[in-house]
Amino acid sequence: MMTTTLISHLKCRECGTEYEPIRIAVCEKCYAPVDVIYDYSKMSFTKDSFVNRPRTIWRYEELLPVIEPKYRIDINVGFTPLVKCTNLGRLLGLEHLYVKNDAVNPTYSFKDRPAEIAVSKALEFGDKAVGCASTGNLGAAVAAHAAKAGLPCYVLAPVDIEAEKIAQITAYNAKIIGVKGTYDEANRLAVMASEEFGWNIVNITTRPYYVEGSKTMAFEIAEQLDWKLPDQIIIPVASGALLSSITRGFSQIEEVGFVPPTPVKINGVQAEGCSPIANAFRAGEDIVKPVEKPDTIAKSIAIGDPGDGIYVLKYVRDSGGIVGAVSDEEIVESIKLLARTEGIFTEPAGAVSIALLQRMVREGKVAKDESIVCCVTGNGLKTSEIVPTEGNGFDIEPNIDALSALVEKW
Amino acid sequence: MVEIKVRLYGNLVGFANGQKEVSLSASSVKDGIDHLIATYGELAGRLLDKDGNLETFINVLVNNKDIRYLDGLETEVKEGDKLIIMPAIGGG
Repeated sequence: MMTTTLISHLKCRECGTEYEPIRIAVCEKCYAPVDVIYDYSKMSFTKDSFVNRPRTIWRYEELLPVIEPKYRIDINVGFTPLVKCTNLGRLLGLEHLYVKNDAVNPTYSFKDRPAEIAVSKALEFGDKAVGCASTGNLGAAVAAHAAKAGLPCYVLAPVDIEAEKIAQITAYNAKIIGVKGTYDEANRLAVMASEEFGWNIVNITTRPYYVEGSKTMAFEIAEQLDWKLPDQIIIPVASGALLSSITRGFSQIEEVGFVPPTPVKINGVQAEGCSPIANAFRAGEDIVKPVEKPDTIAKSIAIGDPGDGIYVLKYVRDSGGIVGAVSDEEIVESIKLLARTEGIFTEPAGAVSIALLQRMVREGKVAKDESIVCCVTGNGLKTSEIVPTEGNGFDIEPNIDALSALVEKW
Repeated sequence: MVEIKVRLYGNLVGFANGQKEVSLSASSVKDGIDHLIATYGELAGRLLDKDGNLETFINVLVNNKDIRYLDGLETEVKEGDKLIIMPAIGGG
């Protein structure tokens, strides 16, 4: 059975060369990114169609690039909560503050979205193994999906990623190859491995399809806001692929007529220790000068040579947003702030959006009656050493006297 | 001029008559690329833009180090250096 996917063809983002929906990494002519194009004229679904659909990314199957349902790998990814942050909003003087909490995906990061599409697509292409270059979260996401699909999985990651992420990846029985270098070096090695060994390195070999998964975050935000788009959004930026995908998702949901045309301010945020795109934004430049040695606790977004950097600059500038960079100290404080006000525990890479939000409020870049969504992309349990117990942990003997003595001090 | 090896990746190999690795003489990265294009004309326009700058989506490494962290196309090469030329495929 064929699905109702509206996939039409692929198109180069730069030179416009069109391709059939083949297994392709980048444009064969100019090596720029290639986008999946859909044919909306064949659309037969409406907003009402969603009532009885699964609460996963597959509810948007028409706008996803997997053709045959039998190849879908489904581990219940997506439709994560859009949390109305009343406590944090009150503290910051914002009436319509939301967190898109992707920390609660099956492998605890937004990376389940692109991984689910990419591994499904790998099955459709007949691949016998998958892999990825990763700072940890994608590795876990691809490994989990590979386990479900029954495929071997190879993860190339910097050797110094967090122990929790390594444990998670190996638990899914993927092979993790710790590269003694940066993410960019691991990524480059993955490009070579893709060619040398024929592996489907999903964020490289079949990148046009892989990035399609992340736009479902935009679709969900629109649907969860009762088919409206927010006034502003803040998105953590590493390679920039998530920001590009969300921007494309907002455009597509407008194009199919589910939301009115809405000028959403797209804001991106990086960690100061690895902020090549924020640096270019601040300097008013169109090219991104890579950072050779990233140095930040936000390891998930420590990509010094961001593939979608120039597009992040374009989309953000076109929308009137900003690309900011926040310090590790601001990140740690933001992890605590979000946890203590809204009960959401995120990793550093997710907290950058909360850190930039506070700065934007201080600088008057967000009005109190604007709706603003902060994307929280990964779970705090993946980086548990970042926020120590800090005087909130107490060890006592197992008797009531010891407990009473402790409580009396508070 | 020194003897260096150039390793090509992606469909660049096809434009070099299927040669994955090529030996050539060069004094700098730019010099090496110019020689490569002189030998394999189909690579012209894929590696350098009309102003002679490296194309946006092409990465060049000398002994595994990105030339953007060295002296760019002007990076000098030594006898036996290995140049890698590959499409810049974003990860993340």
